[in-house]
Amino acid sequence: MIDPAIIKKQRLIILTLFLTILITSLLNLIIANSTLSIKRIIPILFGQGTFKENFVIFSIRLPRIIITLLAGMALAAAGSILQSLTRNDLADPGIIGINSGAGFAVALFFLYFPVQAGKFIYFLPLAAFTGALVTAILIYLFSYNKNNGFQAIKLILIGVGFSTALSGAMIVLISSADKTKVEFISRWLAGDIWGTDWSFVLAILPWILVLLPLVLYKSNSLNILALGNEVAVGLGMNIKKEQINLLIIAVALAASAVSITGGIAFIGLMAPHIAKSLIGKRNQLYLPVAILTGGWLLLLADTIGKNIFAPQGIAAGIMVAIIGAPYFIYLITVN
Amino acid sequence: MILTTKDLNIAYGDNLVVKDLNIDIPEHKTTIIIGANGSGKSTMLKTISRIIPYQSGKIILNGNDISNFDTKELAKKLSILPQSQEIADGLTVGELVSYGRFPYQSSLGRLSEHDYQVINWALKVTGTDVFKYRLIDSLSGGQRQRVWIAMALAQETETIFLDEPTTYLDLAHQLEVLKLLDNLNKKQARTIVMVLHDLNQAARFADYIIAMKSGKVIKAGKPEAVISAEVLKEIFNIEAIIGQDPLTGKPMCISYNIAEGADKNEKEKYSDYTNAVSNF
Repeated sequence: MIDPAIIKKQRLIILTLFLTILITSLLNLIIANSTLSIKRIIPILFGQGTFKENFVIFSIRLPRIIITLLAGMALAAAGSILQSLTRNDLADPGIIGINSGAGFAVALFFLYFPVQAGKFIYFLPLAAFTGALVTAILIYLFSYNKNNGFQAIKLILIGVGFSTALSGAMIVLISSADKTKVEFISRWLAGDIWGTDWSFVLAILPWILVLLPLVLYKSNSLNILALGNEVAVGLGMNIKKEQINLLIIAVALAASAVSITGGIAFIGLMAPHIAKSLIGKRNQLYLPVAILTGGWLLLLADTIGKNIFAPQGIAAGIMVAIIGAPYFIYLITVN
Repeated sequence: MILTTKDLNIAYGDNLVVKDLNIDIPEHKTTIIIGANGSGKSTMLKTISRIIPYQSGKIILNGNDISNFDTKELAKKLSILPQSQEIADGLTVGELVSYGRFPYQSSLGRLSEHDYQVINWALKVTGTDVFKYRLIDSLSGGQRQRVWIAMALAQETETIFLDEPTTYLDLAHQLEVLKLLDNLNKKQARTIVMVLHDLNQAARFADYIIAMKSGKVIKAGKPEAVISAEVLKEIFNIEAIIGQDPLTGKPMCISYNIAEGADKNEKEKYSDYTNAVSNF
């Protein structure tokens, strides 16, 4: 029932995004402090690199690129869901406190639960998810009203409050911790994509592989929720159940991403918005575009932050915020 | 009777809006609910279609208590067109109508051959097939209302509820929508239940009218029995002159005034005031 021309346009946008991601990845591989020439990239990728080249590409750069892409995609999907649920373009897992909840749990876990170093990373997404879920449930309960049901705008305001409160709690946690651990937490807070080898890819991948298809599968429900509660109920949707399911999916996506990359906001805000302005508001069309845009944005931010401002580099989270904050202000003025 | 309520009580917080309501909706007929603002008409409609919860009482659809229905199952039997819809911006007419198939779909959301047939039929019956690919936002109010009705039709329910389907439409478009519904009732044997404000339209299109005031039924029956000076005085506090519609032969409210009772109060107030002034 969608104009075939629009579907064609979406395919074209997706293809363009794939190419852009590919080019950005190559740039990421090439522009670096240990200089690799462009000519070497193809041979290395086909297994003809020297030991040093292989190490740089396969053990350092490639896993980082993949983690960045996956995390960006997860954050974009989480942001899309939250924006649909709240019917508000300003919703983002970072802004409404879900990231802070995850961060608080990660910090707590890191400081007080000694787990073997090897297994630690696989528990991280779980700890982050628990923290984020508890936060999300609290935010949901506070924004729930017996007579009027679930109130979207209240959810955002309460979320912002939670986010601030949790950041405060983080500072309390940090101030009582020892110095080496503080360094980790502060890097986490800045969103400094700290988990950068293949084991981290393995830690985040199952979450993404399960949750992203689930989001796309929910496109129709999201479309119908957008028509308003009365219409959705009339069409036989169990709204409360659907909202809670979607909220859990969004929380799990955001938590799994930020547990590895650190607190990154604004991707979940910008990616869905860019996608909607490119292809419209139908979830089945804009979700894939938003997800790819999110992955690309974070990769771009990390590429710029890490390589242009070498050797120290700027954390991807901060790079994203440099672009994202003005975008956020622009959205507020437009709304 | 396709639908009955037994001692239905509905409240917003502590405020009881509908009290011990007992209504019977006849099958394959057009039932129209009239009543003053705040009389609980819309509340009742929304409660029966489970948008609003109820405090006590029973709602029986086809002999079954609706609280026993799964919400998707109920959506296959009863569709509702709410009074004001969100602006479905960015959606095409065909897409919106296709959402009417939601209760029948697996969660994957693929439309079957039968789904497409029903959607095309709903588009055709409502005359919206000509702008299947157009965006909802580009349509006029009347066209848009027809699209929403098409969506409700695509739900393939025996009963269709509509909450003031003619609001914001001009006279010609109002009639167009009502005639469409009338046709559906007569040709497709659908049970139509709607809230209307225009008494003459209610008298013209209803087989059965329910007149409500303060959450209670004042009178229910054929238009001839309900559209009377007596009933209208009770529910709207108006003095109505009832005649016969020269086109349809149905009762019609030719003109009306605010009832004496209200006027008298005003006069008393005024005389109190003049007395007070002269005494001074």
